[in-house]
Amino acid sequence: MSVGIQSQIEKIGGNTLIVSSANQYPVKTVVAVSLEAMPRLLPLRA
Amino acid sequence: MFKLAYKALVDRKMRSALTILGIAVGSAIILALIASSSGLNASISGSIEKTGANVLTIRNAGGFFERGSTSTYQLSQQDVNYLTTIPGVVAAYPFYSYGASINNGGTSLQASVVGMDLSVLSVLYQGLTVASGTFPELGDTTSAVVGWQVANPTSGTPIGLNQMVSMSVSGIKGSAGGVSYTVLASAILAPYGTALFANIDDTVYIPLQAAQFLSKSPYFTGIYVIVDNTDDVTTVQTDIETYYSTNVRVISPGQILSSIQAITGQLTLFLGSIGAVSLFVATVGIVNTMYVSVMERTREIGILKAIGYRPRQILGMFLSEAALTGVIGAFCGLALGYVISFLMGGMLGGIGGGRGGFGFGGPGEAGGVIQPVFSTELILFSLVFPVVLATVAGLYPAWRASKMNAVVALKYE
Repeated sequence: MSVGIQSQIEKIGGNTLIVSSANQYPVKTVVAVSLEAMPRLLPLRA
Repeated sequence: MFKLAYKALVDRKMRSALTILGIAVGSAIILALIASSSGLNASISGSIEKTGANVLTIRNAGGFFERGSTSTYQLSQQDVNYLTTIPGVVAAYPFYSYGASINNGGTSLQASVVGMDLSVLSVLYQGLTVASGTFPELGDTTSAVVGWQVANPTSGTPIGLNQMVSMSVSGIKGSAGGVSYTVLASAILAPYGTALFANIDDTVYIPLQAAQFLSKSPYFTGIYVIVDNTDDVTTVQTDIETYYSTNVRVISPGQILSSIQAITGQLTLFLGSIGAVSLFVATVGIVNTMYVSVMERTREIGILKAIGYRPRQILGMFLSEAALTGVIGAFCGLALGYVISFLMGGMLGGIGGGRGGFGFGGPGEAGGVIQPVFSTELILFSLVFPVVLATVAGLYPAWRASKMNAVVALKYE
């Protein structure tokens, strides 16, 4: 599954990510997710 | 998408396992109940079919079927003569039937004593063969044909050929206690199993004359009527019932077979619906688990949406998670149901194997074990149905997830 152009997920802490989206949802935000979710989400980095 | 769904399931091992267990138990119960009751049906049908479809059994009213009947009519030689004159009837054979306790080396075996023209045995019970010995000659009233189980009891000493069989016969009118009786085992039958109302393996067959002496009565327990053609069975039955009114009871294997099949069919439906309820409960469990999962993963969904996942893809991800739960549950359920149905088969066999009842056991089995029947349809159903249910259960939570607003989801506390 492809990640939108210029969208990014960046790990900044144990369970914290910075999500930068250039899609229909233009956001750049810090999100804390569960530890379990991290390994699922990180491979989706652009 | 499937990979994500699979990972999500693995991450919540305990919760996924419990949800899968719910589905597995539900589907296992349906499978086990239907397989066992189909097995029961097949077993009963098999035992009824062993008695030829062209044999009608005439009994005095007030017996097994009509305990409340006030009829005092008793069947005698006159009735045998009359029955043979009915068009379509080939022959009529009277019989005596009593309960007996066989004394065998200190242990006693509950059995039946049936007095009849012994040459008719092979006509009545198709495929019945002699294991050893020969049938008593005509006029020999001291010899008997012994069923396999009587000769080879599970406990106690076996009875060999030409050995004396001593027993206490009960149910003879005018004698309160048992009547002592001894016969010579001139033939031992091969294991046969049960036929309609008779467990052949648990029976001692004595010549009609001997039974007449034993009971000191000219009145028979019943008469077997052999009809020349199975198509005429119903006509002959109607003729007999018209003639005797409520004085006798005519038992036709075909009729009993269809009524028992109707009962077991309903039993299957009833038991299946119990299983369906448990599967429904499991489905609600999936809805619950998925719903909680969606709530918990709101931020995750927000991230996915923010980086470009389409609602359809989110929907697909959660649906595949639910479907995967269903698939694993269905396979576990199949295995579990397979085990349970064999356990249930033993239990049902224990209930049905009672002497004097239908006795559903196979040849040589004391109690009898019902072999569950797994039809291809049943196996396919138990594999597909839980998956469909689980997917349907996942629809609403998945739809909720797909409809989330990314920004709101990201900020979800």
